[in-house]
Amino acid sequence: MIYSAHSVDRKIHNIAQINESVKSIRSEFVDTRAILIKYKMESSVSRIIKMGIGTSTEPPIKIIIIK
Amino acid sequence: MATTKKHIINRTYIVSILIFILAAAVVFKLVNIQFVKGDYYIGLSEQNNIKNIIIPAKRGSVYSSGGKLLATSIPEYEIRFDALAPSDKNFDENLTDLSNSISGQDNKSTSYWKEKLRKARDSGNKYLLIAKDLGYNDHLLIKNFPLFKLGSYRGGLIIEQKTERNYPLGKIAERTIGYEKKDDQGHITRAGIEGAFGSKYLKGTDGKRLSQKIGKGQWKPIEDFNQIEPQDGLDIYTTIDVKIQDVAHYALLEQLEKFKADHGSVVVMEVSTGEVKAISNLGRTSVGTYYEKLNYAIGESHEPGSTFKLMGMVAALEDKVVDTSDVIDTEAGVLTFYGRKVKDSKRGGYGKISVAKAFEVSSNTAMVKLITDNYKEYPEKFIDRLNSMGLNNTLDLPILGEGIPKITHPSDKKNWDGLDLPWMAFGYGISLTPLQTLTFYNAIANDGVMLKPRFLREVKNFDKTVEVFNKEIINPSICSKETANKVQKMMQNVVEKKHGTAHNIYSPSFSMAGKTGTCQTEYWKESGLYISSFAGYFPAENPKYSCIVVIHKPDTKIGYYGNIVAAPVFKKIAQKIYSETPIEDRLKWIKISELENENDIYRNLIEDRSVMPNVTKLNLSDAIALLENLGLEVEVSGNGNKIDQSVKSGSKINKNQKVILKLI
Repeated sequence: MIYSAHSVDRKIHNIAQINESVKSIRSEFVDTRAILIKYKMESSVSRIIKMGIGTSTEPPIKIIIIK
Repeated sequence: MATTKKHIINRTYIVSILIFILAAAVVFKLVNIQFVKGDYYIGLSEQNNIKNIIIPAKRGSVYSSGGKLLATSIPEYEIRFDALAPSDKNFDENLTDLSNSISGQDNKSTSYWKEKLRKARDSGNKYLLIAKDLGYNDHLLIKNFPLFKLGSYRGGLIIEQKTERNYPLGKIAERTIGYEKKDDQGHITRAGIEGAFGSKYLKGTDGKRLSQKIGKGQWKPIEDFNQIEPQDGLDIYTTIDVKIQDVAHYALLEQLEKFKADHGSVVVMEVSTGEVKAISNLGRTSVGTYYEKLNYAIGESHEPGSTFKLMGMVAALEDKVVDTSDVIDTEAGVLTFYGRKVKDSKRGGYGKISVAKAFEVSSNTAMVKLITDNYKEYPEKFIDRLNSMGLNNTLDLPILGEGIPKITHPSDKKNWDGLDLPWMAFGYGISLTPLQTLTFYNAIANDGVMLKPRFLREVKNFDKTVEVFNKEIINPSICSKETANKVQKMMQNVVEKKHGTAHNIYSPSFSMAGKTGTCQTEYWKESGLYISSFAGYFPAENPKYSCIVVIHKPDTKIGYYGNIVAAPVFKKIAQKIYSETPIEDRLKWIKISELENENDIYRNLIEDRSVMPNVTKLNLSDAIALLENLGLEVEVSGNGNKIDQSVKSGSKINKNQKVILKLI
């Protein structure tokens, strides 16, 4: 009885700890992804890259072969 | 001896009696606590150690149509410092480095932080704020600063964490993604998508569980029953396309900055589904920067000006009171009604022009004439036609705060006067929100099928779809397909024809159609304030997206016409979408047998692998390939389109033999 009560306590502390790390891992993920989304947006890519490369004004051409 | 023994026994009795009394007292107290005051103490203990813990439900996330996160709940960190915790040695050793590190994070000087930290230590501040609202990565950085990395006991670092709503896109579409906030009095402000769908999908329900306090501030559940399971909020997938949103945001921003305008909005909608792909609203601050201030596109009902000529034209064509080729006299560009003048923007008017051309050049006089001549006897016929196209109704949007359209009806005797009908013909005396106007333009692009603008695609519970939203038809036919096609042609000419008001955005590589609008606003306050707008769709032949751009109060010294201020934003968005949509080039499959014929030629050339073939009739690349396949080493020299081979055809060859192909 006493043993199992203590083991429950232990488990709860364990869960709390794991929850904490889940939270921080999740926030790391969201935080990093937010940075990535910002970098990936065309407006910021074109701001960063200044090597004489611009966005194309003509669409790409896709070649589809009909069998 | 005997006395000693007795003496000892007596003493033992005394001690035993004392112990017995003590034990009796303990038993008495125990009984007292257990049975007499028992209930009181049990209650007290339960109060302190047992309570109904609320298990908060996780709020759902908001995603873009491509599955990118627009809003989610994550922990945010606040860093504080217990200035008394570190030892003198640690504090003095690390003070400079620590100040240096912190100042690198928040742009305040090292000496500022040094001073501040020292002061905190002197005054015994155990809770000095270092930084707040930090994301995970930033908080990790601070955690590893000198002194702080020693931890909470030796370094005095205090980290506080709370769950906050985070918007990865930042300022982009901030207002449309929205929020749900509770103030001190418990009033909830609901803005944008978060506000609209917050309580229905995102919120979830909190759970409850009877729990007992155990160490380290944790609570342990007592029973398995008598609890409410928390239900996490659902995730919503919006129709917002991050790419288009990005383009729209920056195109609008650039134009607002260029024209120092007060505020503006852009909405991009998919013609066939009514999905809002992008919505951007920017307002000017007192220092001239722009941010998502209010949701103007949804909330601001204003006089539309010339973009409303489309509605008038559709009504007139639908009632068959005019046709596109009828001729109207613009009468030197001025008309007078009850002493007030309607003027064309071109001085002297356009002479006698066709109805279609009147629309394309956006002639005020012609449009007014067209409407008044045909409807002055029974203006209610015109208004009823407009109303039947749904123009007097709100769109019934889930996002709160939609502006209410205003179209005065002749039966409303108090507000109706003789000026209403002519002024209405060129978009004054009525009011619509940008999104309501766009909905109409979208319906025209969609051959008369009016769709409700939508913001939601799907509601999901992790990866399980809970609800899917399909297109909603407001009116299956606001006008005949014939009428729609007629005005489509006119709108195409506005951009394509030299005389069109938006010819300045014409591009030979992709097509657009639309209508410009330049109208005065707040003319009752001061003159010279304008609203420049452009509404339309692209590509003109096969409409995919409709779009409206409205810019309020541009600096008239720089420009104020709809085609100059608003239309370029439209073009930029159209251009971007055009250049990102691949053109498909369909080619016919070439049958293997056709290739085999060619193969035979090679095969004949190299019947015998030990003999040099004749390659003079092949092109260079084929010749090289052929010879290298035979294991020869090929060298090319010269310029020309004929080949001269250094080894004669028919002569024996060895592996790795060198062959020079000279071009002549």
